[in-house]
Amino acid sequence: MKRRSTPRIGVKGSVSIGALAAIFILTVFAPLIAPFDPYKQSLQDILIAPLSPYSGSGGTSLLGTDQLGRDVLSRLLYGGRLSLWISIAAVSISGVLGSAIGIAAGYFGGRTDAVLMRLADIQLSIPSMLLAIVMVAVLGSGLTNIVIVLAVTGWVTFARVVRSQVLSLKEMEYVEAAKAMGVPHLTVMLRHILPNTLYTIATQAALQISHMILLAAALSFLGLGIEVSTPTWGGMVNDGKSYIDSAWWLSTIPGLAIAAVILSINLFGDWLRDRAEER
Amino acid sequence: MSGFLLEIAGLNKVYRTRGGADFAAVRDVSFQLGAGETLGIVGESGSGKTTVAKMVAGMLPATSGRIALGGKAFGKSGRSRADKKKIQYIFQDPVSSLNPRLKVRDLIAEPLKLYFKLPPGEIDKRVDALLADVGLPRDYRSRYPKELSGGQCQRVGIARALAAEPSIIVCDEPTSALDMTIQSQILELLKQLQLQKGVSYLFIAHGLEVIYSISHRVLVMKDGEIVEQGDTRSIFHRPRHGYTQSLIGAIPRIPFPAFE
Repeated sequence: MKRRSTPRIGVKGSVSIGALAAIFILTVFAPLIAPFDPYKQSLQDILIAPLSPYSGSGGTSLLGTDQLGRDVLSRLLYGGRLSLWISIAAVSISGVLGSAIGIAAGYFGGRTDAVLMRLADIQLSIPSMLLAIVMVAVLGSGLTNIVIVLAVTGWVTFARVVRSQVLSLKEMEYVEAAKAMGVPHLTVMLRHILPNTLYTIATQAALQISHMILLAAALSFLGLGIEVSTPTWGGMVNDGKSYIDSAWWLSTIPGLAIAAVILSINLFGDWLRDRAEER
Repeated sequence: MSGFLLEIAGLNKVYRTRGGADFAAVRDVSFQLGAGETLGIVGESGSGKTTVAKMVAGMLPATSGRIALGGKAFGKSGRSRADKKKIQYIFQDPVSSLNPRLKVRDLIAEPLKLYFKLPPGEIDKRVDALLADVGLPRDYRSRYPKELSGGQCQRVGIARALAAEPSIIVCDEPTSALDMTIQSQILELLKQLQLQKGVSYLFIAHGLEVIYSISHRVLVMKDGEIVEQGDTRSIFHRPRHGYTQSLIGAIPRIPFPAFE
């Protein structure tokens, strides 16, 4: 009998990975897939309901059009690309920063730990939404600034989770062995501690991505996101809210997209955690 | 010349407790270890034997006392890497003393990279030689610790300690997590390596039965103090202290049924 070389993926894993792969392909290749230019306005085709024909050119609009006659499906795909990109960039930055701080705090302990963790506590005592609003107000909006703002609000979670794991890892005998040999601190951290926290970091990153998508959407919704005409999911929900009586699809569809992505990412994070516990 | 490789004099370890009363884990321990010799330290749990071992290996700072290697005393403020190289440590739990994310090759190569500036090809050669020394097949180099048994993990641990080419290896109950047959194999391996390389062992164990076959001299500890020391034969045959006698009495004697 042949031995199974790869571990079983299971329902949770295959559903979440499949959904995420589909979302990534759809959004990354938005320019190829989107039926229309997301910026193109058409005054004849204002607020067409989903699955209704266009007035002039013929054909069916799959997800309808908005108040300026822009195709909702195209904007959804382009907007998804931006929203995902922003959150992935923000999570990467905050993940690297937070994990580094968490490892340093846990490994050195004592005063280093106290200072770093009080810093984290201070930030944690301010609601992340409030912090983000203040930072956008100070730095100004724009793509780079939004990423920075999100990254700053996210590092604390990484730092705390990683620190708590490092506290138990550093008592392991192999860490003690490396220290007794005289392995430099940085090498101990990078070689003996970091690789053993990667599962935790990955799980945390998956959960944080969904958090960042929500936060970015909320910022766009408040008008603190990126330029108004640029499609983002949060911005689309915001734009559609005044038409919620007459054109339900404007807010509902991007809202559902956000929910679907977050659901699949959370499912994926769950699956990662299960796997980490299995080992 | 004193002739001893390692000299320990008046070693103390005191822990502060919350209640204000200090707890002395190790009290006024002195002993010597010669080159190529094995000194066994025996005692029950909490007798301070592991604390002594960790202080000798530099993993714990001593409260007071002198630890001198080759006539040169170690300072209070930590040891240089060259000093750490000379005293290596073998752990009680062979599995948890190996990083699960590193392959056997990388585990053994770590001290080689740390202490010797070697080209990669030379490191590979030495890893192979060390694997042969501890009796592991060459293709184990690309395995992870969890793919090995406890005894095999301990062999990797021994290879890692040997890689530094130390003059002393502190063995902290290296066989107590292993089953009986593997225990004797590991002990035989350690004895054989001592003959080959001339390394000294400071061998910690909680029972005398393990110590008997490997130690030249034995040191019995109780409650942080040395109660008796002497060469193995006299300890076993003419134990003076009551505690040593009770340890010897605790060695299981299995009456073999007589077969015709």
